[in-house]
Amino acid sequence: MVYKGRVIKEEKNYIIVLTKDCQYKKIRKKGQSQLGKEIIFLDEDIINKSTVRYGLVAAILLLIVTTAMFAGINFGLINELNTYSVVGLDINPSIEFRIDDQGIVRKVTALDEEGKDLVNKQMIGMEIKGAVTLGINNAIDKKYLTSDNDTILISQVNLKDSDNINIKNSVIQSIQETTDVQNVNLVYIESDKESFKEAEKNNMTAGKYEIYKKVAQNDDNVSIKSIKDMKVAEIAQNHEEIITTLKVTDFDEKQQSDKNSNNENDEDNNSDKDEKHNKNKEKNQANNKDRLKNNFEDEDRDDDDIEHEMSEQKRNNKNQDKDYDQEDDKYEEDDEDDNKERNKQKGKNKRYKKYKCNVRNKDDDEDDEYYENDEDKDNEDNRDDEDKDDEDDRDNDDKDDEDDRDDKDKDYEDNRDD
Amino acid sequence: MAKILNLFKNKKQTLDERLKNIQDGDIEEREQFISEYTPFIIKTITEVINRYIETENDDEYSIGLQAFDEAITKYDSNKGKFLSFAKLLIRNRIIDFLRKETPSKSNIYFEDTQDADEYISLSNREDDFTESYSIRKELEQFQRELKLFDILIDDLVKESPKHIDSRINAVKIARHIVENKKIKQQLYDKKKMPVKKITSSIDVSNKVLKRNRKFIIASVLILDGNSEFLKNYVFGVEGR
Repeated sequence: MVYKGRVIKEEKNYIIVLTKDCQYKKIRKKGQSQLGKEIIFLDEDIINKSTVRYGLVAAILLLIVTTAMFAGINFGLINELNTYSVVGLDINPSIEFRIDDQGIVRKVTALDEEGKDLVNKQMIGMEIKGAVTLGINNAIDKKYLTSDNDTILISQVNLKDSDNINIKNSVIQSIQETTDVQNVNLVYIESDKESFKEAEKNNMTAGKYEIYKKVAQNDDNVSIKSIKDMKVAEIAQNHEEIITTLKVTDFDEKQQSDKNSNNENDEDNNSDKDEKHNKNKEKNQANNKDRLKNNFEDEDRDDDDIEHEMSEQKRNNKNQDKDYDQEDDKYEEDDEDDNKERNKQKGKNKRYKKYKCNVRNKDDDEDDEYYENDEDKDNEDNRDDEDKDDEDDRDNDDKDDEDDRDDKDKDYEDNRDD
Repeated sequence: MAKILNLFKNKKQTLDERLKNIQDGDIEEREQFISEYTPFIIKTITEVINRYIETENDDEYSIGLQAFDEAITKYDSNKGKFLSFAKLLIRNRIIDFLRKETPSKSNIYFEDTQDADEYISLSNREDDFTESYSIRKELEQFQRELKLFDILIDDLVKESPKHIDSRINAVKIARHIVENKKIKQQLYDKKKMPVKKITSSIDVSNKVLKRNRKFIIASVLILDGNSEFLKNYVFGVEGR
């Protein structure tokens, strides 16, 4: 169709034309400006908004599809690629673990509604034996696994070969050790890829599917769904002969023979563990208390106090410096008598030192000792009378207190630095 | 029966057979063939000149038609396909024409001032320019008036009635508004369509008025305005 129309508006990418039959048409821009001119144009020049819209829709669809594909690759495919083995746990409820080459759970799926009760998020990243026992313990907690319903079916399908996924024994052992239920029938089935694929189609574990196959051999009337919905214990009752052939006999015997000793051991272990636990607890509590104390002491100190102490400290230091000067002169005049007294004093001061050593950092100790000795000396030098020694002691005490406080200040500062 | 058979035949005729008939002297068929292929001719010309063909200055179009006609006469089926041959011929003729035209139209040589004066006086460019200038002014005026009603020309593209009958009806309403001073005044004053007055004086439904509001207002502005060339496009629908 050929149109004739007047260009009535020009934009960057299109022009608008008023045609002879009074239609306003948006058409493609070509070449230089033709505003106000009557032009001849064709259908193909018209910008049809519907095509734009379809294009948009198509683009969005494409985007969704591609993102979905990428998501599929990221979450589905990569998961599939990393799955070395699939471990199914049926009590009914049923759950399924996908594990990688290290035996670490990468994905947990609940195969039925109840299965969701057994799934913990923390299972992902756990070793498979831990995850299985956690699932079983959850089942016990939720009363799925009881004395009536006492059969656990575990199935394993190795999709790829790896040395680290021969998990059968470790799983069985860990179930024995860590679950509380006795007299549990444990069935362990190692299945193959074909069965797993079939099972996956029916949303059941490979173990259940294996059982279905076995049951179906004897009984044609059995449907997959009935097996899927049946509790493992019920299957065990109805088809005892099949289950008994598959039972983990070791597990049963061990459990029964080891029952008493095992229990004792368990208790011992438990008690050991408890002791350790308690010790740890005590330690922790003690630590906590210390921490609390420190905190309180730190908190009790106001900034004013600290400043005050700082100034005091300075004063003391100045005094000490003066004393040192004097002391150098007087040292030479010291008599032996004085030495005796000095020794006495030292004995006293050692006590303080010991006390201080406990509080102080090792690095500080040497310097402090030096100071203290000097102080002692100069005390003795300046005051000959023994009567005044008491006062000296008191002075020393005060100083010590101050030192202690200084130390605490240091500790406080250290803590803050930490 | 023979006619039907003939029609059937015609449809089945290949391009080469038709061309042979035309070359043998079937003038009716020739005209029919050319009108069938006008979009092709227009497309080829547009491609060469890289802008739309302007009807006021349709030398290019007639040259294209002539070239196509020439192609029909000169075509030799042994030398390739007709359409590519026709395309080539049209392109060559148009390019030849443009080469002849351009110096006098757009190139002015300042080296020789006397010649330049001649060129300018020879070209009819000036008239063309003043005309297009006034048209542009009128278009700007039209857009400004539309803006008062909060309408963009882009809106008209989307919201104009698609079917020719509904367009005719809408223009009829517009004409009614223009001729009825009271309604027109109210429309200009309130910048809104006085729906009640219109429905009471002319047989239209609210729905039609509402749906084609923008198109009707634009038509009113054109019909009531002083842009003769825009009016022509509305008259085209009215059949005047």
